[in-house]
Amino acid sequence: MSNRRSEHSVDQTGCFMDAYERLMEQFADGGRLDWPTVLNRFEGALLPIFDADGISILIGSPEPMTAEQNAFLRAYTSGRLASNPRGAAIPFQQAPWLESALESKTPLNVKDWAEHIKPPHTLFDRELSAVGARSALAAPFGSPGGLVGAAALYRTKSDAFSEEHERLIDKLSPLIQTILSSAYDYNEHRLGMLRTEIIHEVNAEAVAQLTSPEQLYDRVCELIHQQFELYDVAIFQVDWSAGDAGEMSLAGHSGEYFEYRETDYTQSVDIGNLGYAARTGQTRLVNEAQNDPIYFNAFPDNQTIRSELTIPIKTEGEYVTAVMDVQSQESYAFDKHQVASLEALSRLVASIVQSVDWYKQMEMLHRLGQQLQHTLDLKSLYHAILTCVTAGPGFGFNRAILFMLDEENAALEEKLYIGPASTEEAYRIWSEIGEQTIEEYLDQAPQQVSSQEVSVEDRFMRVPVDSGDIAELSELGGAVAATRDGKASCSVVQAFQQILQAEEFALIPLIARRRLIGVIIADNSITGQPISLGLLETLGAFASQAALALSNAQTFRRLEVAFEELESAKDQAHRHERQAIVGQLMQYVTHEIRNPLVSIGGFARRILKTTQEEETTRRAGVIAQETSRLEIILKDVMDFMSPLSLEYESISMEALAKEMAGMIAESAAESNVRIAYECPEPVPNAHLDVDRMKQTLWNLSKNAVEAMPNGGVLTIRLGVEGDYVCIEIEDTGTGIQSDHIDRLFEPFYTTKKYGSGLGLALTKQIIDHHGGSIEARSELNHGTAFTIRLPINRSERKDVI
Amino acid sequence: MSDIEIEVLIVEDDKAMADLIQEELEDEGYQTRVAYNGGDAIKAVQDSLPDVVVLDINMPGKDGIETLSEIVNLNANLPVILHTAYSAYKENYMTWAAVEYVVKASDFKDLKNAIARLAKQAAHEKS
Repeated sequence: MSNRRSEHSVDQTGCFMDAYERLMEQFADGGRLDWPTVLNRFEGALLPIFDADGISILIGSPEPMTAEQNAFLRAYTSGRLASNPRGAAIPFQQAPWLESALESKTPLNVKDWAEHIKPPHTLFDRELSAVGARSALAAPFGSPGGLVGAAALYRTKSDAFSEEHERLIDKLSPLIQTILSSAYDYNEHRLGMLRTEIIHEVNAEAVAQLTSPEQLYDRVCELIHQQFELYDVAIFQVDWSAGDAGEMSLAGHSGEYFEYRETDYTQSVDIGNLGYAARTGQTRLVNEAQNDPIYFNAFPDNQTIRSELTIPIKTEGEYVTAVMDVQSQESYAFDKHQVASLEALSRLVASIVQSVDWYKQMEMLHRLGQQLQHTLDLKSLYHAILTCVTAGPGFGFNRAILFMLDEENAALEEKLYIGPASTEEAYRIWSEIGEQTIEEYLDQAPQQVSSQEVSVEDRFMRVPVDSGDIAELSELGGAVAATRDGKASCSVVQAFQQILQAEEFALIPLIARRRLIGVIIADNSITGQPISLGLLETLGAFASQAALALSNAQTFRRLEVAFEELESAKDQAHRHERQAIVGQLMQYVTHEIRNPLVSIGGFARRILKTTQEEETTRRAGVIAQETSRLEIILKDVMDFMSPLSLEYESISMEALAKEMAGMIAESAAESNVRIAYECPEPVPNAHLDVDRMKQTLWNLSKNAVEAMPNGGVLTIRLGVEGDYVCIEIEDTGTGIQSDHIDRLFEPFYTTKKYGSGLGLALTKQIIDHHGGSIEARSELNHGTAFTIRLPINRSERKDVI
Repeated sequence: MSDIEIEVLIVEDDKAMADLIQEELEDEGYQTRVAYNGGDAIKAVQDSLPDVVVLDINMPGKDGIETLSEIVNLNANLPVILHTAYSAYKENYMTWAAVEYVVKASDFKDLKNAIARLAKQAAHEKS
């Protein structure tokens, strides 16, 4: 064939056959070739025939699949592929000559390239200029809507292609089209395969590792970066916890652009393509970064980015958790296939992230369940449960309230509220919690969340419930999401809506042993993150474990209370037993002491009666006196020790006072004490035990007389004060120091030389038992007065009033 | 005291105590008899009825409470004074059918007062 090369301009038919044969020869193996090879073979077949210096193959589908996807062709040009094997992207609208050529179906012969590239200066023109073309000959093929393209030969020398060349290329055009279509299909298929592979690979790795989303993000970026040969691939996590002022942080990355990053690069959701994707949940494509109104250059030092594609990674409920960001230094770098496969990949990543979350939640549930079942203290349990519901490593709700059912009072009673008091506080706490595990968090929860534990309005709320409400809550079966717009099924749900004022909240009934024991309500008032079905499912499982733990703790608490009661009853019985033993012992001791004492004292008195001898009288007197003292002490102790059992009757106080005056008269006379009886008005009957009251008055009167060894006046005064009868016993004796007055009624406190210190204590005991009161007032060297107030007999009271 | 003689039966196991009570009561002008145990006391009552019985509670053999119920069986109208070192039984003495309950004291004032009250009644009945 080489001998015919110079004949091409002479023999048209021969040239065509030659070129045809050369092309057939080059592509005999069926054309399963990549673009550089295809170009290389075209060069081999056509350059000698056309005496051309190079060739550029332009091919693509001009119809975009969606508005966001590029309709562009790719150009594979001799001498250019070494630096860009993927070919140059040429927007369809930037090859207007192709359009007109397609319409006229004639080849385009550009004789003077320098003239041709005067405006409009298209990308394809630039492609040929880059290789130094001075003339070009292009044969278009295809039709708008289908696959279109052209094979363009160019010369770097000054002479242009001839008309023969024009006709020849026109004739070859159908064959060129066939070869290119086949190559195009093969390469598209190959790309499709590659993309399926990457999806497969990502999936396989994710399933094998089920690690944190961050690790997954890094790996996905790496795979995309390699597979699509992009400049940079990154995934940003979106943090909505600060409300509208959300932030995006670099979570995964592979490539060059973000090598510029500082550690922990973040940017606001308000800016750039990233922000657009995060806010709108829409894919966004930038083809010419320098002219794009939204594109944001994070690193002004690097001005090489031309194309940027941002794809939201959306979990259930269209919630954007992350954004995938791919960048290229080329304009129009992403074709519709790439956009489609990256979108598919982001959906895959989203579902993997969700299943990672789900898996983690299941694992966490298992651990929590075990931990909860070991907690028997109700308060700790409330705390642990709500911590799980609100903590980031747990269910991550912004706030939650736990109510327990109080069946007796037909109400759900708030036990604990956990939630930040403000958005700022929430942000601070969440950043503090960081990457702890739930166990670590629970361990230090008491001090960590102390600032969170603020009951709504600083008091525990009560939500009334009737049996219908309880039945309805029980029949929910599991956790449900209630919305503001959704019709509240019962008044309780309405009440919860009132409390939370949330667009949406999770209602989690706590059911143990088929009985409703409480309810948890939780919402995302701050981030507004929707409550997904998957989360509710897991919450439901958690709730049944929590309810069981609570029910166990309640049972335990009841047992504890019963046990405490039993213990205290046992204690009391023990005490009573001891008291009884002490009482018996006292009885024994006094009996054994009193008998000989009476003998000793009695015989001493016998001696006193019978002897005249002075010394004997004195000695026997001492024995008699000391014995008497001991006998008084014995009597007081016994009286004080024995339980008071009073027999009440309605008694005239006047009669009682007069009797007392009579009884004390003798010893009063001995001490030269005059008795004055005062009763200015009629006094109603009092309700009292006669013997005990006599004992009391006797004690007081005797004390009074003893306080006046050198004579004086004992005044017994009766009166009425409201519902009380007053009886006052006053002496004009030595008086008592004011600092002793308060202690007078204490047992074993005495100011007397001969006294048990129990007389006044017993007196007070008796008066107290009567529902009355006793008080003392005294002035040193002027005397002391005791006032007793006793309740007026009820039946008598009417008469008085 | 009055012309009418009042006889007191003293039931007391402690010999010295019995002597003491006897002397004290005789000083007051009462006729006295002494029994040193419950059985003797019953016999003494059966022999001749005293006006008042002063009965100790804590005695070996038949104690005061048993003796009291037997005396009441013999004569329900015979006044018995329980005279004891125990102060705790005071609450129950009426149920034992005793008329008075006196805690022993070396001045015997309470005992003498109680006997005086009963003697007055006895004298009133005799006359």
